[in-house]
Amino acid sequence: MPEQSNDYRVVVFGAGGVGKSSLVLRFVKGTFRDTYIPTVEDTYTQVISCDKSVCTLQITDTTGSHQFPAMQRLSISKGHAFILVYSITSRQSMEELKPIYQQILAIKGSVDSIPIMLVGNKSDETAQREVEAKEGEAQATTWKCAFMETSAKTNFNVKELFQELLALEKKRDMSLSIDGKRSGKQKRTDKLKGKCSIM
Amino acid sequence: MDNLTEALQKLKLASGDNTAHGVEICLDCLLKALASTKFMRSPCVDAGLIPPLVQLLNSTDQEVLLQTGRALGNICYDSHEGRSAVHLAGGAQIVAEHIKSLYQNTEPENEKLLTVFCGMLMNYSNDNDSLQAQLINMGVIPTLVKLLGIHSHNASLTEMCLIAFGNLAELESSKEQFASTNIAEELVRLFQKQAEHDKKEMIFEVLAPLAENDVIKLQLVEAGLVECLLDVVAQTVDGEREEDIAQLKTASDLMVLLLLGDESMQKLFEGGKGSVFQRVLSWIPSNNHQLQLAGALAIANFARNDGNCIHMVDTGIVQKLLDLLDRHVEEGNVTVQHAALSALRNLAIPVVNKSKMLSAGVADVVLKFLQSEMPPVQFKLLGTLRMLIDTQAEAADQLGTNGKLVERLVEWCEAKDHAGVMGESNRLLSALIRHSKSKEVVRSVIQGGGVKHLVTMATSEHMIMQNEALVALGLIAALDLVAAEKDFVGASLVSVLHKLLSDERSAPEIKYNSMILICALMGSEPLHKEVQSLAFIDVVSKLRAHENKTVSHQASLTEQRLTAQS
Repeated sequence: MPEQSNDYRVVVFGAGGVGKSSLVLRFVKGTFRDTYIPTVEDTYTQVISCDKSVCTLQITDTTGSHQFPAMQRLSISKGHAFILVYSITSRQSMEELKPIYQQILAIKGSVDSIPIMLVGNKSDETAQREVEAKEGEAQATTWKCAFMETSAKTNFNVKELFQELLALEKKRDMSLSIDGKRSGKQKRTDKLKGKCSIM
Repeated sequence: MDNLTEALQKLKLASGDNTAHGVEICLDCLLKALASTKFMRSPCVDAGLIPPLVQLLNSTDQEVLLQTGRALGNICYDSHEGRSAVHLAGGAQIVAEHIKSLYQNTEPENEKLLTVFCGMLMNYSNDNDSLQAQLINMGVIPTLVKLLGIHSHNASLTEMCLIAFGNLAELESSKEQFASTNIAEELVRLFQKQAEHDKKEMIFEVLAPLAENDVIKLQLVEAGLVECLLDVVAQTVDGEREEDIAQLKTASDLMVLLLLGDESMQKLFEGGKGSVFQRVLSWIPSNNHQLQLAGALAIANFARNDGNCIHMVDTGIVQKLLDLLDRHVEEGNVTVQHAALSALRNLAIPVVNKSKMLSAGVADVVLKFLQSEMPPVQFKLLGTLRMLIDTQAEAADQLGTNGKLVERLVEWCEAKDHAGVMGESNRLLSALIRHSKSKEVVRSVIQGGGVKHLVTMATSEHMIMQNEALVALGLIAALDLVAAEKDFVGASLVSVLHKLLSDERSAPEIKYNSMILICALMGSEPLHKEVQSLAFIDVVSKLRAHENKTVSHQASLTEQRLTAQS
């Protein structure tokens, strides 16, 4: 099938057991995939421009891809945005993301215009927490990427994760059609930066 | 760090001491320290500076309030810790209350203070949904709206207000609150006063999220926003500067947004005689792509009830849309194609419109886009054709015997990446058969390889799809069983029917249509054998007890038929 020019490829990395696939599944099943619901009566539909609706989001879950380095390199080189997942209950899983980040940096050259999200999953497991949110934030600051904690189990921040990721993408006019939210946040942060001098 | 420690000591002393002058010096010191490097914020928090600072918000000295506001605003900027600390110390509440008590005062010094306080709240809540929600719960929205009205002469304060609105408006919870103020009026009034592009742009940025609320849409229409938008369009349509192009897009997009609401749309339609509708119509033949797009989208959204659609077709909209589409066949603009097809699809819904649109040649123009590789275009093309052939047997026959169309439909039935295209394609295939009831169409579908897709369609999770598939398959079996036999066997139709009949959850229509189909299949030797081997009689005899009379009656007939031929 010929590649659709409006594909947007999000690649999800993370050690086994961090809940990557649950995260993706939660999102895709719940809200995202272009679901088609047929109606008997022909219904009038509101029409918005098709460039404002979601580009086909291709989410690549890389479970086990470390076994196939060439495939991993390919996923990275073709990817538009990246989600790096660790579990807040495992410091080891966060460590394991470091070489992956380095690889993305190496293959892409620079991460300036690439949406990357560091995600601490399993935020619901407070008793087993090994990695504090602060540490995740600090790591994200070092990597100059965004950070979020999520729970695929309780569906906490799952939708927000993908929304944020898409909001980081500056080159395309994309917004999620589920609630039609505009991503004006980035613009406003920039405006407030300018206002800082008043402060 | 020395500056900071010094500042901290002085501040702690001063807040106990209450000498305004001493405090001012420390604040000055602090502000300099904060401005010197962005890494000051955490140390400030860690040094316990926030609670005493927040306490200073209770001062009666204007200068102290101003400087404290600046300091807190600075500390909150882009800092989770800063915000948390201020949150814990109750800073937002105090600032919000100050704004509430000061907003009516238009003295310049006071306006400066209001600007700083608004800015502080924005830095406090920026990018943080729960803090924004907190502000909304504190009731800042009505206050800020009134503030905007009173201080619209003050550029910095107005700008700060707009940024605040933009932030808060992103939250669903805010929109209802906004709807109960007169924000719509205030923003339109403000917009009308602006000459500069930047200023207009800022207001647009607030209007867009707000206009997502249907109540606010109507308020904006009533406040006269549409006339402003039409003016902007008229002024910028021939412009070549980047800012003209940007404004044209923003204004026309906002127009379309206003039309997404049912009430606001109907108000603007004004029976099809209104000036807005006429103006928008004039966009379609434009040479400007953005205007063509906005025009087509606007028409598509006006076309959302029978009355509007019938009126529009009667007054010649169809030819305008067809002319537009013809301009975009070769290397056309996908968004325009999609918008125009969407309009046609909606217009084709009322029964009286279908034959008129078919006579006008809509199907032929639509078919010109068959080769498109863009799913949104494919999706609307399919929808339009399906709407058109409903109750139109001749058109269904003509289209159903169009080999190229059937070929493409069969291809799209496998478009697993695009659920919408796949679904609509299956439905159109079935619709061509059901509405034509023609043997030629059946032949055409068989030849195109469509039978297996219809069988798969019968296993859909959606009852509507199952039913449409079964009825089409029933017609195929009735009109040309011999030609279809091989495909029926290959696609395991009989097993599919067995499942449908055995599943207790299947709807009565499904059971009924499955049994009709089984009877029809008995005319084929191989299929007859399959039916026997799966012991259909058992399943069917149980259905004689079904609560639905039509089903139970058909079950008897079917059982008799199966027994007779066993």
